Amino acid sequence: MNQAKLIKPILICICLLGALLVPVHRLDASSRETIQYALPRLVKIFGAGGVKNLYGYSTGFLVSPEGHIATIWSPVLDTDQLSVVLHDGRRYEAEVLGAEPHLDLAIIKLKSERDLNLPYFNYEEKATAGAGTRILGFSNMFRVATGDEPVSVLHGVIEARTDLPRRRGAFELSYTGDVYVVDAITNNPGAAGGVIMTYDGKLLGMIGKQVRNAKTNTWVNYSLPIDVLSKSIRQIVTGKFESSEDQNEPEPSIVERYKPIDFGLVMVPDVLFRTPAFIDTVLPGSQVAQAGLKPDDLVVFVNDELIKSCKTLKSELGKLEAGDTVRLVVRRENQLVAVELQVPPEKKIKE
Amino acid sequence: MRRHLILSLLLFWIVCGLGNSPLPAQPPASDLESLEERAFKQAAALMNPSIVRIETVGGQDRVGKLITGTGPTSGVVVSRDGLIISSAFNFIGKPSSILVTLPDGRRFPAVVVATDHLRMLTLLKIEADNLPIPTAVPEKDLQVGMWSIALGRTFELDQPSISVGIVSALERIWGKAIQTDAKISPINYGGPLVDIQGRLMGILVPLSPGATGETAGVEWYDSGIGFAIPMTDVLKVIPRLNTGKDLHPGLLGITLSGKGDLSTEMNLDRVRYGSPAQEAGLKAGDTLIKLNDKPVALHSEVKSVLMSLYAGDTVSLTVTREGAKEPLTFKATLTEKLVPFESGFLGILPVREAQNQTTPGVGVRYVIPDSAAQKAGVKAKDQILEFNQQKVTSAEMLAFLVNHLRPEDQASLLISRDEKPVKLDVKLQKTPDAVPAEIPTQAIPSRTAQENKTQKIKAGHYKEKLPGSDSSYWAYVPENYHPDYEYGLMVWIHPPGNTMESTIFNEWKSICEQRGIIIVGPTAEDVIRWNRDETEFVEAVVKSMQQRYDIDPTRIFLLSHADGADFAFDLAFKYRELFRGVAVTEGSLKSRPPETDPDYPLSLYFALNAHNPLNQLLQPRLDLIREMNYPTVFQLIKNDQQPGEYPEKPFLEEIGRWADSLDRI
Repeated sequence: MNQAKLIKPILICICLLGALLVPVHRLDASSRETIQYALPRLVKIFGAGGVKNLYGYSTGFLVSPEGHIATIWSPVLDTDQLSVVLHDGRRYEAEVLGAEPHLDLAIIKLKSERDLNLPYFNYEEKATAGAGTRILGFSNMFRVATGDEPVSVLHGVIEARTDLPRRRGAFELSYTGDVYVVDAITNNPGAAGGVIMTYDGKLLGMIGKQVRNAKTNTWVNYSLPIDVLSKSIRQIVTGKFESSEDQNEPEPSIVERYKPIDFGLVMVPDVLFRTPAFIDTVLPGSQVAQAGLKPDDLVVFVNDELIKSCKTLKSELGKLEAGDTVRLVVRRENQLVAVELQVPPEKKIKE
Repeated sequence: MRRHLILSLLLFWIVCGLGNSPLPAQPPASDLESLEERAFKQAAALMNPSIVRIETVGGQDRVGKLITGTGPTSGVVVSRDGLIISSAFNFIGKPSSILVTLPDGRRFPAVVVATDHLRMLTLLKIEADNLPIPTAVPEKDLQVGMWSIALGRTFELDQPSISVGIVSALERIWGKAIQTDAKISPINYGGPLVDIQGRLMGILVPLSPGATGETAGVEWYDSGIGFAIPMTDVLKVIPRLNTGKDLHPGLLGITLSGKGDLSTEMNLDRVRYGSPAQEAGLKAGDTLIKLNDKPVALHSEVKSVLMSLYAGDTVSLTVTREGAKEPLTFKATLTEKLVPFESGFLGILPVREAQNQTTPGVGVRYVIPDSAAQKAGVKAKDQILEFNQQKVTSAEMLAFLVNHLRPEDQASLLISRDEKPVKLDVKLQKTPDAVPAEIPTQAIPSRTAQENKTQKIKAGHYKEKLPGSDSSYWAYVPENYHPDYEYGLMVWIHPPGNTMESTIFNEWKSICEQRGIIIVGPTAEDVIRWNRDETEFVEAVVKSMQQRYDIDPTRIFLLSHADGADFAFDLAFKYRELFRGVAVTEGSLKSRPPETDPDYPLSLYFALNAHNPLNQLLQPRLDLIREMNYPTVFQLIKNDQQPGEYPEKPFLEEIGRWADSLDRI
């Protein structure tokens, strides 16, 4: 009887312990569980390159049980002998299924006769996260993972999700949308095509190529958000791909319709790399004269775009369309003065 | 049944090891991680209203080797009426306009109030009111290992950029900074480092323990080595900056003997002329025992005290002095700039005596026209016996006495003329920036090649390698070399790509024979360019020549042409004790030279074709090095030669005279 009494609590206890061991739902997962979940879903890719600054290796992540892998669109894929090594050392030949160069995205597929049934990421969840969110970065960086070793893991936080690259020339990137900038040094040789995830297991994005931020002249650690990539991944995997490259209108050639003089502004001679946009003379009777701008005013904003130099002033004014209202902010002594002007009708260019 | 349930829960508790854990109960890992994450975000949100975006317009695009960024940077509000502190790095391009944007989108033009060049902070002012001031962490609460969150406002206006790390060290960079492993870069320089409660720990700046330049430490961006000036120090310095005066590192003007931060040699090696240390009464040879009443026994302790003080700050020094029974205490007020030392100049060339000769005093070989010596009435063949009542027994000793005085100083000379004593008063002058049109050569008794051969002295033109070195050198020792006399040594540093051995040999052979100069021409391992590591090889070549031949240490000089000048100057400034002159044709000086040193005087000579575009670069450099009191000759070559060509004989003869006068006093 006594024995039976003792067995019961022990049984209950074992049951409770058992309940603890059942895999928890990933969204409540800890970083450790997230790492265990992610590593089998990442692959090492080996292909072309290996000379100068071109690395012959990169990273990819499985997006289907049949062996579809999303990765970075890079020269590594430009070969007939593309091979992929899984976390457990299994090696497969692979082929490029499709690519979306605008997103730096490529989908490759493992060549296998058999049903693979591999673990994979659900890219359709389209998770997003803000600054300060902890992340884990997974990649084949520096090719330190060899053979059956899984890829490397870094930790950090999201510094910002930002549209900075949209500004022309700020990054040497073809992609022009939002990115996650992170404080972990994720963008290493071979890391492109890896993933960043939240600690609790959400797939956030694909690690991008190594690029410098031309504004700060520093290397930037960024990832392409999965919510941006997911549509193209699905389309390529399902074979219903329409490249946005075809749909995209050709990059509008930059016609500089207007010059400062069209508004009545004569700027100081543009002699330096960054000559500040100081007004030299204001044409009498011109729009800017009527609006009250004066010589020695420094133009600092055109429609909220910071004017860093005579060059940026020219390009910002050049973009305007006839009839637009343009807001100029100048710095006079220690004050900011804002004026609004109507963009004059475009002059006919004489051939 | 209920009893069973309670019992089983208790058992479960014990099995899980939580009941008897020595640590307080912790939430599960995932909870802790998400709580921490929430805390990071809340800390950033708390500080958010006080972080501003700073944008600059115009300015230099390059500072030294660094291409300055043009992206937005960050700053922190420190007063309700518009004072903003930021990193001085953000303004190194000297922008013509600065704009500040508040998190609510309002924009203001900003003016620089002042810059702290020691802690690399800049105070800005905008015309705004009621700005939110952050709460600072009390200094005692800062601990290594605590969370530290670096914020900036580069990317988004409504939300700061966030990088998370821990405090890696306190009182780093000679007591000036908190170190963190959060990622610090031009993205957040000027932004705040906050604790997990959102309180301000400090202002993020680039710093380096070894360098003090305005770009020092930038190379460590995002590396896990980042620095912030503690808020307690920032708050102390703001009222000083708010007076509108820049703050500079304070200089005392002493060097300690012994090298390295861990050296325990606390003797004052040198006390700079005109420095706060000298004015306070410190002397070379004193042993430093206390700084600001704190005992010091290591160089690093001295650095920690001195390198966190500003010009204008006062420091007390306690030293022991030979002959003094009690330690002496001095007070010195630190200065922004030390006066470059300028040696006095007498204006004579001493007689070069044979080794076995012993004449009293120093013989005068030649008196330089218009010099102090000539004005005082010194003549060739005089013997200088005393200088300022001190007996002089060698040219070296006379040079030491003269070099440690300054131009305009008065001195008395006792000379022997025709075996009669004569007293003269002399007022020392500046070392002239020109070479006398004529300098007689001193005839050295000639030896035959055969004589040298029997004594196994290698003379003539030859090529050799140093034992154990792959690099070779060539040399020319005048055939009539006489081992009893000291010779000058011309070290030829060839320009990248061409050893110019035959040109130099042919052009210089007769000049060197006449003036008693040996030529040595080390060759770069890869003739294409000199590698900086090869300075040691050149030094070794010079040392080996000194061992083999009798060489006058005051007449060892470097000669170079065109781009070879860079390496020649590297050598001259690295081995101050070895070289007494650098002569460069068709070349310039790119870096700022170190301060002049009376113990190791260095003379410079530049010859440049009038059509060489380098003239534009060289002229401001010449002004600078003359301001630093380096005796510097500049010869503008006006003839039909092309810029960059090796100069013709008459110009080289002037360099020969200059080299022959390096032992002048």
